[in-house]
Amino acid sequence: MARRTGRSAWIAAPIRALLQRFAFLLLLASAVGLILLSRIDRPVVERSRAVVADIFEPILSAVAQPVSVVNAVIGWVDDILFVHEENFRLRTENARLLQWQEVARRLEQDNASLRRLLAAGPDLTNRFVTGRVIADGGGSFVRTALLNVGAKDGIKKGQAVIGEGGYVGRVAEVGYRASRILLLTDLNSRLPVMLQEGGHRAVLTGDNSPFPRLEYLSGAAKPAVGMHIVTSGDGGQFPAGIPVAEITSIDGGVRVRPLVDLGRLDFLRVMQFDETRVEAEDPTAVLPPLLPPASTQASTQASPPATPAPAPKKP
Amino acid sequence: MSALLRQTSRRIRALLPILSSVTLVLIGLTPIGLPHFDNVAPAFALMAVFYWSIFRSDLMTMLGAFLIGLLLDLLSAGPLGLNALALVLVHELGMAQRKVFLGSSFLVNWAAFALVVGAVLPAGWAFVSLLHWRLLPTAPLLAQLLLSLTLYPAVYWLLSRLERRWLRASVTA
Repeated sequence: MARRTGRSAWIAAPIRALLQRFAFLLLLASAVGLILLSRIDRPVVERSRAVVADIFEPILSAVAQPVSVVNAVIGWVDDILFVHEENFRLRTENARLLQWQEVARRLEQDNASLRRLLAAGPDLTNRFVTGRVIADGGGSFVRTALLNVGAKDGIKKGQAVIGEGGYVGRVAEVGYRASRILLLTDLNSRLPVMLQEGGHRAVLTGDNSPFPRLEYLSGAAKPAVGMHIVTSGDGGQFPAGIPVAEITSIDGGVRVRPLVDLGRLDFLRVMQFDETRVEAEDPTAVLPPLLPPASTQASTQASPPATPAPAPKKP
Repeated sequence: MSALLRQTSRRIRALLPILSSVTLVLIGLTPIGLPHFDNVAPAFALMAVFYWSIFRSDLMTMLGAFLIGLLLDLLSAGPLGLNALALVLVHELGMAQRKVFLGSSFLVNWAAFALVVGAVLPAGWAFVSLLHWRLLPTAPLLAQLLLSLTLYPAVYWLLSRLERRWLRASVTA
């Protein structure tokens, strides 16, 4: 390179400069082109993301392990600092839960005898696949996480991802060994939910802030701070009743706080939910409604009016 | 034989700027749960490309910067091409001013980095806001700016150590 002398250098320099400028413009144009492409052809972009995630999965998994230790230490220090308050909170919670335990036992018996009466099929047992978070969004524009399980473990697009305490997000892209989760706080996240008390439907809309917004809530609903939000199961991707969030403010739009600490995700479970099995085994789908239509309003709390009245013919 | 060995070693060392940048990209993606930072990572890729395009622009080419940005885009699930665009611009800025920086102190370099990161990150924020047609929260942007500025000296120190140890003047592209 250094041997280039005289005339050739004299000619080469301007050409080099020209090429350099051309390369700069070309790369700028390609970047802009990619931005446009990702707006137009999502499947291609998703595919390439999945491939790159698959390639880097082993490295990221290896790095995630020490990171998880660091997180544990941070969490431990945090716990030590607040141990007294935590202890007090747990005592009061324990007292309350003991009362609930009684209630639950009674309800369990009631439920079992009623199920026998209805000859209903067994409860659906969902299969879970556990994975570890190996990367997060890393930027300030997205709320996603990369999980080290993929198609080889049976992960499919749209499945619900559950953390310690409730819903975290859904699977947005699936690679062979890694998959990406769209967290419920992300700008693109829309989750069909309902108020736990009353079963009023709404859509939980992420906006990249830590507190997603509850939208399209029916006028009849009376949201209050502290109320819990659960999945409604509309859309059929996952079952109803997964705990999601708690209402934190109701003035100027209802805002909620996710039950899971999304800033500290480590191991997560992906719910393998089979919609076809529900249709086959859901007792309301094969049995005629027990109550006359006039009294259904009183029973909305027990069974939200999601499924249309089925034909009461099948055995 | 030894000539071949030396050449291979030189080739590998010539990849150091790219490899170190990729490593920083991967570190930036690790899910460290810093309290109050809500999963915001410092702009490591930007630091690396800025550093190398000033001190070893022969080894950190424009295409290299583009590909590092693309990798970050693909792995972070942000708008595809945005980081690629940003890093190509940062590379161009670093290249254009490298004569100024080469002889100057670290403080000058840090100030220049502050200007670059202070322009590029808000520009990206504005761009994504436009793309979604709504104002994105500014708290993560500020957190990222703050983290990037405070961590730059550490990254600068690390990369300059790497450069001094492995990339003496002998290694060229």
